[in-house]
Amino acid sequence: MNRGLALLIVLVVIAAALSLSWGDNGLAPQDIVAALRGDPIAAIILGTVRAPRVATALLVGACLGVAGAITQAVMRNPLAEPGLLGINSGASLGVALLVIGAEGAVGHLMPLAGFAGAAVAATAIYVLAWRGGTSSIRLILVGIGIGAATGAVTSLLTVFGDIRDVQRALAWMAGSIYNADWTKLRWLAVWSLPALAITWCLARDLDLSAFDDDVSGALGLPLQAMRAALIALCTLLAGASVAAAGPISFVGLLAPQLVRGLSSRHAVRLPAAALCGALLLGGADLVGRLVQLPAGLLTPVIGVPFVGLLLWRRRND
Amino acid sequence: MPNLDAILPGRRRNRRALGLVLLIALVLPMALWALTVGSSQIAPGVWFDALMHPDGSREHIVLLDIRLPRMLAGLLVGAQLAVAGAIMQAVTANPLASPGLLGINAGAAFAVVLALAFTSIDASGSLVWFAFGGAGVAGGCVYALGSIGRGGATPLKLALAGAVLTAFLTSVTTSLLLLDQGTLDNLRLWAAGSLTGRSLSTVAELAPYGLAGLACALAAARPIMTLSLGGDLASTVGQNVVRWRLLAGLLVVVLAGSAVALAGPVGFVGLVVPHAARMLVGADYRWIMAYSAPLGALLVLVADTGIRWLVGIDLPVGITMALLGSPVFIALARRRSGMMR
Amino acid sequence: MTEPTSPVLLQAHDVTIGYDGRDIMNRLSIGIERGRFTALLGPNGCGKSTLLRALAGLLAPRSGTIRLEGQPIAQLSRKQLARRLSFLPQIPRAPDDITVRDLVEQGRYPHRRPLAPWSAADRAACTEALELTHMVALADQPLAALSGGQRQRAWLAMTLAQSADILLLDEPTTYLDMAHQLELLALLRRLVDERGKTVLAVLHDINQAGQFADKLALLSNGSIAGLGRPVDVVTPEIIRTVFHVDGMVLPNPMAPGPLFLPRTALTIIDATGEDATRS
Repeated sequence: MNRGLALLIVLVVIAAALSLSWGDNGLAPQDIVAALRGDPIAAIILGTVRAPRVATALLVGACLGVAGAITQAVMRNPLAEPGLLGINSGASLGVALLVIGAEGAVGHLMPLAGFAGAAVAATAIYVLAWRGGTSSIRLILVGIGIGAATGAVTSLLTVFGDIRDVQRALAWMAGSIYNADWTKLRWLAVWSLPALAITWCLARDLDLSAFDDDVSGALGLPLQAMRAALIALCTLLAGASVAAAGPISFVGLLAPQLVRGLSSRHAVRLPAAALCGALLLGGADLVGRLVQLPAGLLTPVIGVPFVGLLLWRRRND
Repeated sequence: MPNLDAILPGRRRNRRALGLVLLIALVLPMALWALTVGSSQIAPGVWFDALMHPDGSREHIVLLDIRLPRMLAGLLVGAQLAVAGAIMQAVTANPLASPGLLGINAGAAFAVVLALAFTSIDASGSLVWFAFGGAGVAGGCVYALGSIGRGGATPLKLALAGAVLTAFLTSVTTSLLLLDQGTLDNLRLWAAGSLTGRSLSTVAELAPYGLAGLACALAAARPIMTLSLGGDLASTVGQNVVRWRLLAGLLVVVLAGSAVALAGPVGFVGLVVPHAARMLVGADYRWIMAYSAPLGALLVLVADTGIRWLVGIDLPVGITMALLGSPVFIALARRRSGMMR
Repeated sequence: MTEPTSPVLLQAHDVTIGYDGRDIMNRLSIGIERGRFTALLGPNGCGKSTLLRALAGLLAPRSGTIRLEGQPIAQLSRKQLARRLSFLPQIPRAPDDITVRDLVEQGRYPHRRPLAPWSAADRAACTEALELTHMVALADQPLAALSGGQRQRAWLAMTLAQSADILLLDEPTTYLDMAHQLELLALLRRLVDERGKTVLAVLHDINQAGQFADKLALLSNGSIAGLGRPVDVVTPEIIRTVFHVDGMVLPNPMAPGPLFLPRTALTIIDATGEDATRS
């Protein structure tokens, strides 16, 4: 067992335990044990508020970490992140359309609108990047273009929408795990767990995807089909996350970056990126609870020093 | 440095000069047209009276306080962003370089929102310094981030670093706006990139920075062209590359920063206009920069006015430009992605 | 002396290849013989790399077919083809931080079923590839830390680990110094003689090609200008038409095969104005 992976698991468990006990009503470790033994008050706080929230944060973080690892391999660029596939901008547009455009209470439809927006944007990018086949460079550039276009339509809606609707939409766009519950978590799990498993089975193909087209093709990788499948998986993972927690930036960029040094094999990198993403978002949610800010706004704040660190470490490359 | 003018046939040079004069001449009628378009009908002749003998009538107030500053802001912002883009494309030898794509606009916008949210400053003349600071820091970060790894600052890596930084700044800007509904209501229009609501005094406060930046850029066109040959070649022909790169960076910061202070982050002008100029005049950056100024001014003015005229909606110009510009960008990416690695 | 005729293993029949509406080669046919070392030579921009990529199945010809033992390669899956045929591009690219061992192990990709564990055959193939290329000592170095020549040998090791009977190599000697060039060519020779591999390599040095290869294929403007044993192909006339170089041919005093001594180039820049650094 890889030592780095083991360390990550320990850290995630610690973060989860801290996260379960910290909050408006503090729970000592013995309270958690009490809840498990059947203490009703502790069980309510733990079971209906804390536990789903912590589990959602960890699972969303894991999905984003893996989605980021896929993007970085497929785009062959360490700065790529799932947001480039239009996931975040598409989801934001979907939600803005719903909240600002539709009448009445639509809160329960927001995850669906987010997922639909993400899927439509990713599909549009894939189709527009197709020119007798796709190339990683075209995917990136078309992704930037689609991101700008969807962003423009979203701003259009925020400029002309009712200010309360706009604030609701913007609050969703900030990304948060405030109102996680078991139902949402179950949906997230149904979408993401199979995708996570399939991605891990494709670890070897991901290894080869990071090579150039001629090398991976000559080694027998069915390039176009694999790229389409990987992008679909990435959309599924990041889209499910965005539906559950809103757009969360930087986890998809950082988590795979931070674990790059562990191994060049995706068989190790994928679980490591998942754990690291879970740790990042779990930590951001925990800190966010303490300072009363949504986790999605904290991930960049946590992320920037890490980017600085990476820059410093790679300064001599 | 080879003097292209000496090599080029005189006729071609004359044709370029004539084109430039025509473009500049086109700005005036377009500017007058922009003054006539709007929700209230104002006869084309009234603007002359309004300028010469303002009598405080409603028409004159609309012209002087709403349409004139908007028109001037459009011209300035367009010219400044286009020239800033041209400089960036020359200095980085990078067809994707532009203030919007490389995070410079987002940096300036973030700094301005920061200043408005946490200080009591609201004079444009002071805010512009925040914009300069934000633009400079963001540009520096993107360049540093895009230069890591082998191969240095390739177009692709710079564009990615710009996208990453823009995502980060946008999310932090959003959180600042979320803190306070009042700020959100005041700033959402500006944050989308808009020419409305500028007073003549705001334009007058910011115009000197932009005009000075434009003048310096055109004066420095020759050394900037030399920079476009690449660092090694530029220094072998005797240029102090470090000094000129810094100066070029400073110019970009002043041009883009004051444009953002005036109109918020407006994307794609700085990307698309230099490419259009290159199609017209070829690879000579001195001509590209000279053409970019009137082309950019025309693009922003005509797009802003045209939308108002066609649809009757007051669309923020940042959104208009993104809706017009992103298809052009995607087409460019599909056609020429091979050379951006 | 009669040359035993080997049956053709890999064959391009009447192929037309082009990018973006421009034909690089028009109705070209060539057969690569089994168990031979064939060197592909030609001036810059004549289509050597294009032909190699088409033979590797990476570029679909606009018309015509490429057959492996008589079967069109378009009918084979990518993995099936990769088990029979390996290809090393001129400038292969991999993630910076990959180690030599991880790179070489990628060569086993076509032999592994999904989720199947690492087998004894996989391990043996990788070890052998590292040994043949003298890369064992460098196996745990990251690729980015190696010199150009070492990197080239690491890539060759990956290609060998693929255990395919056909090796297509695009300018494998380009980044190597003279000693490593000779060593690599000797290795290819040994693979052909001792393992019965079929090698097709793009080479630049006609004298090295004449010394090590069984057959030379000369490509000029997208068509085959000569195919045969070095002594038959390396003649002043053919060299002049293909390379636009004037010179004379002598018998090689140290090895079988001809030796070409160039005198002058007939044209400095070729008619198409092609960039001389590209090929």
